Amino acid sequence: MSVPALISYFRGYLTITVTGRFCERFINVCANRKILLWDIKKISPYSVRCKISVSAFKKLATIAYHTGVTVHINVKHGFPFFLRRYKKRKIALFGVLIFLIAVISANQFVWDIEVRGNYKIPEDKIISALNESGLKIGMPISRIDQQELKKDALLSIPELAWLWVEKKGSKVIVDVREKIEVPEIFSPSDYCNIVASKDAIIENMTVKNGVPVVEKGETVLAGTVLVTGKIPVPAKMLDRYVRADAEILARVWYDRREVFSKISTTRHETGNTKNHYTLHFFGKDIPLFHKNISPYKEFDATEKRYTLFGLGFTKKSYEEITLHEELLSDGSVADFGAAQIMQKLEEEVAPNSTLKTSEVSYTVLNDSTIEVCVKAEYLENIALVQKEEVPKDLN
Amino acid sequence: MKKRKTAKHNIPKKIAKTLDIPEDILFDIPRITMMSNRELRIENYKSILEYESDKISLSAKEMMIELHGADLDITIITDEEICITGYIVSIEFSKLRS
Repeated sequence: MSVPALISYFRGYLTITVTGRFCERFINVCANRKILLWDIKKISPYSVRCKISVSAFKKLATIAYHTGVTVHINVKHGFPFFLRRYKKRKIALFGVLIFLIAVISANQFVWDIEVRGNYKIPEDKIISALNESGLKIGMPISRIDQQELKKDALLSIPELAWLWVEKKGSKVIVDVREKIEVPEIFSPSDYCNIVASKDAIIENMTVKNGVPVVEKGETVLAGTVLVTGKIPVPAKMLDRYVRADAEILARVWYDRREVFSKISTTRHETGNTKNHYTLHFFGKDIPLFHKNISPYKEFDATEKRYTLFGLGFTKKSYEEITLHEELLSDGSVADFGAAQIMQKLEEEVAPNSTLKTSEVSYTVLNDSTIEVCVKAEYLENIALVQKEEVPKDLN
Repeated sequence: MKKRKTAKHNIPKKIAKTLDIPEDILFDIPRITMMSNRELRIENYKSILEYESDKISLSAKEMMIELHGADLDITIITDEEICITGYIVSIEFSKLRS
């Protein structure tokens, strides 16, 4: 619909038929008197169909009389006629009114909260912090105090650098920016030593800066200085301080013991399932025909949540299972235990370390438990940067 | 005497020509715009002389414009402009009988 057509729809227009021998004269007079006619169509040798606005139609009587034509209304179009037709249908009007009130009033409340711009901080944490300071789903939008919320949220979550609550219709968009951690600043009055992070035998040393204190093949304890950042300058009778930097590959031994149970429980599904539905209505949970208690003693539960703005429901499915206990052989438990210990060790050693040798042994403690012992040798980088303060010159 | 009158009448025309002003602005000469053979707009027309669905005659300054075609409708008509749509086959110009 074009703009003029829309305007004429709202002001109302008529389709009329002009009958007479001098239709052309009638059209000419209308044009001269600035009465707008449109969509003029010849329908028979003596009649013309055209459209005219309601206000202009009132002026037609005299023109029709003088030009000797008769004017007949065919169809009434537009909003004024539509309204007149529905004036009598009071209940329908009442329904429209209620609908409008419902739409307008629904727009006055918060239906959904969306958090944008967070990477490390979980969304729930931000939303719960905002909930505490008063922003809740279902509250009136006009009662949102953006400045107050910003202040409260920034105080309660120190990781946040900036936060702004934006009202967008019935939705609230929380835009956040996280703080970037300040890197450790190296003061010019400090210098660094490289110390051993673990007890080890040094295999290879690559010193990039500083003076090595130990030699290849030497056994060092954790905390021993390996490379010093203090470089003596004999010619000037003073020391120069630098940030020591080195890569020290050393052999490190690990001895780990752990007790494992020989009894393993396996889970079997019985095939019985039950679904529990819960309705969510603006933060309130309404359980449907259940009391939030599992119908089975042993079960696996999966939860699926469907939400749209403030409304939604959760489907929680319970699957009944039975537990079977089984006594495993010593060897299989030892293998399983060794694999678990090695996995933990891999996390403990420095990255890019290589495993040289490993040895697994076990001792049976009683009928149901077994102690697994793993001895492993790694070749790893034990260099650890330690900050030191330059002693103040006494002179 | 007659010669003098025509000369006088030609003065504004000459001015328009030397100043490069379009003649339809100065005089009520009809300006016709066509969009393919489906739509025709005439500005500065005077009146409708005849209207049938296959023929429309209009009067303009010093001439009569006659359109032939099929399904001819007048989509809009004001005192200055008329817009005709339909399948236009031919346009004829003739001197207005007076």
